[in-house]
Amino acid sequence: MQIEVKNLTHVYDIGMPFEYTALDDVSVAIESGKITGIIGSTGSGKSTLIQHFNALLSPTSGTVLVDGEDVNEKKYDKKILRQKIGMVFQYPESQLFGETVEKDIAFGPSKMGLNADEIKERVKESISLLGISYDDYKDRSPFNLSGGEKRKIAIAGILALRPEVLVLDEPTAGLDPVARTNLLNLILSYKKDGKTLVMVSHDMDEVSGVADNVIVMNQSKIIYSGDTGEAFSQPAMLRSAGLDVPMLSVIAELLRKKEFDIPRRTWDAPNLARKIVEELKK
Amino acid sequence: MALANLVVVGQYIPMKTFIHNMDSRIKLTIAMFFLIFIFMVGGLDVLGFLFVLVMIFAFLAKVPFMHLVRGLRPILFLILITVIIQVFVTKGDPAFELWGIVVSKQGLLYAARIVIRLVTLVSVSVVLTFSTSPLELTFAMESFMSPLRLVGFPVSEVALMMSIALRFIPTLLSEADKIVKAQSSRGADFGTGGLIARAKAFIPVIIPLFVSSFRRAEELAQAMESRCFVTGAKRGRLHVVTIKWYDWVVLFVLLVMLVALYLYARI
Repeated sequence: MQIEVKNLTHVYDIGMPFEYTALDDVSVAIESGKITGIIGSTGSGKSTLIQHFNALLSPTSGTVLVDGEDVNEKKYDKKILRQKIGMVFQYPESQLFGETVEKDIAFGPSKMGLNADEIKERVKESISLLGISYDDYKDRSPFNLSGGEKRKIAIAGILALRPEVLVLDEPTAGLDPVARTNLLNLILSYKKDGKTLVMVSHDMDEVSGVADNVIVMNQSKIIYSGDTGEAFSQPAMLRSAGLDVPMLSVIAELLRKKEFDIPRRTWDAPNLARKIVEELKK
Repeated sequence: MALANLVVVGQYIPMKTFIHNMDSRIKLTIAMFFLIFIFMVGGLDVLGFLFVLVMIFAFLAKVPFMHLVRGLRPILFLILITVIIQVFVTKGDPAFELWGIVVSKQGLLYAARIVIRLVTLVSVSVVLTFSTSPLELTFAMESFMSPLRLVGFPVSEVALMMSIALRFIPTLLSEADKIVKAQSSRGADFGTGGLIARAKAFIPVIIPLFVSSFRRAEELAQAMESRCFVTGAKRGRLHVVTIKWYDWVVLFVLLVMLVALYLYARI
C-alpha cells in the first residue's frame, strides 16, 4: 500500500482564540514494505500526521492519497481503508472494553462481517503473534491483566484486522524493557511478512535500531524524510528539531568505522555491549 | 475535536478584558438579574434593550461573534419549533395568510418575544462562562450558598465537587474523542443504523470512558489526600478575591437601569 501526503495542512479549532496549525503544508510518501519512524518533539504534529493516514481527521487543505486515491473523497470507503491501515493509538489499552480477551479482539473482525470460524481463527492468530497463549487468556477479563498484557491485547485487536499497513503511536511508552524488546521484535517480524509499518517514537535509540526510513518533524513541518542512517548522521538537523543524536548510534557508528561488525538493529545497551564483546573475542 | 466543539456554553477563554477582571460574584448576580428580568418584561422594545445590553457586555468581553452563534446552535431547533407553533396557533388580528393559514399579528409578536428571550438567555450564559473561569464560578456559587452552612449543608464539598466536575469536562471530551477514533480504526461505525443500533455502537466508547474516569477519580483522590486534603476541614485560599469599587459601580448602574426599565414597561 502506497501512502502519500501532498501539501497537507491541518488547523485545529479554526476561528477560535486557541486556533492551532498542527501541520503546515506537509508532503511526504511512505515507502511500502519498510519501517518508517516518525520523530519530533511533543507538539510537532506527529500524531496529527498519522491520523490522516486512515482518514480519522480530514485535512484543512491538501490531499492524502492511498494507492493513488484521495481518501477524503466522499465516495471513498473509509471502513475498508481503516482495515487496511491499522492504527495503534498511544496507550491503546485504554480502548479495551470487551468482557473477555477473546470478545475484545474479535470486535474488529466481527465488524468486517466475517463468519464465526474466521473470526476465531483471526483472534487465535493475532494473539499468538504477540506471544500470548490463546487458551489461557481467551476467557479472562482484559481489565484484570497487567499493563503490558493489556497493551498486547489491544494491539492484537488491531492485528486481527490483518492490516497491510500498521501505524503505531508511541507503542513502547511506559513498557518495561522486556515487553519493549518483545514489541520491537514483533514490529520487525511483521515487516518480514511484507507489511508496511509506521512508528511514532520519542526514543531515538529505538528508531535508529528499528526504522529503515525516518521522518523528522519540527513545528508542524517535515524537516527531513529519508534513510535512517543518514538522518542520524546529521546531528545539527536533529538538534534543530529539539532532538538529540542517540548515544548508542553514535557509539555504534564510531565502532563501525573501526571495522567492528555491529548490525543496524541494535536498539538497547545490553545488545550493543554483547555485540562489542563478541567482536572483541574474534 | 469534533466532540469538543459541541460544548460552547461553559467554555472559558482566559483574557484580560474589563469583564474578565470583574468579580465573579458580581457577574453571577448580574447574570441572574438579567435572567429574571427577561421573564418579567414583555414589551418588544424593553426586550430589545436588554438584548442590546447583553451584546454590549459580549462586546466588552471580546466574545467572538462566531462563538455566540455556536452557543446558539443547540437551541436553534427549539427556537424554530416554538416560533412555528406561536405563529400558526395564536389567534388574533390577521396579518397575512400563508398556505391557507391566517397568521395573526399577536402570533408574530409572541414569536418575536420568544426568539429575543431565548437568544438573550443563551447569550448571557455564553458571556458569563466565556469571561469567568469555572473555578471563579464555583467560588461565586459557594459564597452564595454559604448561609446554608448554618443548617449543616456541606457547602465547600459541594462547591469542590462542582469545580472538579467542570474541570474534567474537557478532559473527558478529549478522551472520548480519542476512544471514538481508536474504535473507528477497528471498524466501529457510529453514524449509521437505527436508534438502537446507534446506541449500541457507543458501548465500545462508554465502557473505556467509564474505566478511565474511575481510574482518574481514584488518582485524583490519592493526589488530593497526599496533599493533606481532609473532608470537612476548613480550607484557606491561594487568591483572596475582593469586590472592587468598579464592580459595585457596574452592579449599581445596571440595577438602576433595570429598575427604570421595569417601571417604564409597566407604564
